[in-house]
Amino acid sequence: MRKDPLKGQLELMLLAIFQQGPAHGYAVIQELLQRSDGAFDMAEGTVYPALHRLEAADLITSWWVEEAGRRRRLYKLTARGRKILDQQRQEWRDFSRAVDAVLRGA
Amino acid sequence: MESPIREYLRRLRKALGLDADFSPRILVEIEDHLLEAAEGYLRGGLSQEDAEMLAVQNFGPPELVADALAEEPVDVQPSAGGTVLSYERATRKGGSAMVELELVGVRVVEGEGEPPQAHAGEDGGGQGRDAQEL
Repeated sequence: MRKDPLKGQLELMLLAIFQQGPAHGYAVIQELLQRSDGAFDMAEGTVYPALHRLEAADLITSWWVEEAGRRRRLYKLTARGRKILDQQRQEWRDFSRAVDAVLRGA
Repeated sequence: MESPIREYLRRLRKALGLDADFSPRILVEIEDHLLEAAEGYLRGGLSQEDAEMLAVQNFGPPELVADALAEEPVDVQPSAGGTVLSYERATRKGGSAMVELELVGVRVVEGEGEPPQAHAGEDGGGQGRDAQEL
C-alpha cells in the first residue's frame, strides 16, 4: 500500500486550484491546506517541483511580478492545462467511484 | 550570524548543484516563499529567528526538495490510446510508482521498487517537519 497517496494526485489538485485564477506557490499551498481542511499538510517545498513539472508539461505557465519589494512567480493554467484538468477530474471521479464500489462490496 | 532562511538557501543551492539550470529561478521563488511564511509567523507573535526557523522546517529538508526537482517530469500522452496522463517516478530513494488511469475502465498499475535507502520523513505523515541538523 502506498503510504503517500497525496503525492500521485498533487499535480491534479494543483491544476484544480489554478482554475480559480493565477496564484503564487505560497498561496497555492495555503489553498491546498484550506480545501483539504488541513489533511494535506506536507513539506511545503515539494509543491515547487510539482509546479515546475506542470509547467514543463505546458499545463501551467508562469511569469514574474514585483510585490512587496520582492520578485514573485505567478502561475496560471494554459488552455492545454484546462483541458487536461477536465479530463483528469472526470477520470478521478470514475476511478474513485469504482474503488469505492469495490470497497463497499456492492 | 547567518539567518535560518539564508542558511537554508545556501544548503539548497548546494543540494541542487551549481550546474542545475533551474536553480536561480527556484531559489528566488523559494526565498519569496520562506520570507512570506516567516512574516506570517512573525505576525503570529514569534521572534524573527523562530519565525524563520519554523518557515524553514515546514518547507522540508533541502535534500528532499532537490530530489523532488530531479524527478521525472509529468508525461502527458495523447488520449487516443485511452491513457491521458501517466506518472512515472524513479526517485533516488523512494522507489518507483506508476499509475495509469484509462478513459474506458480504470486500470491501475502500481509498482513499488525496493527503497534503496531511507530518507528522513519521506514516507511519514509529518514529512519534512523534522528539524534537520543545522
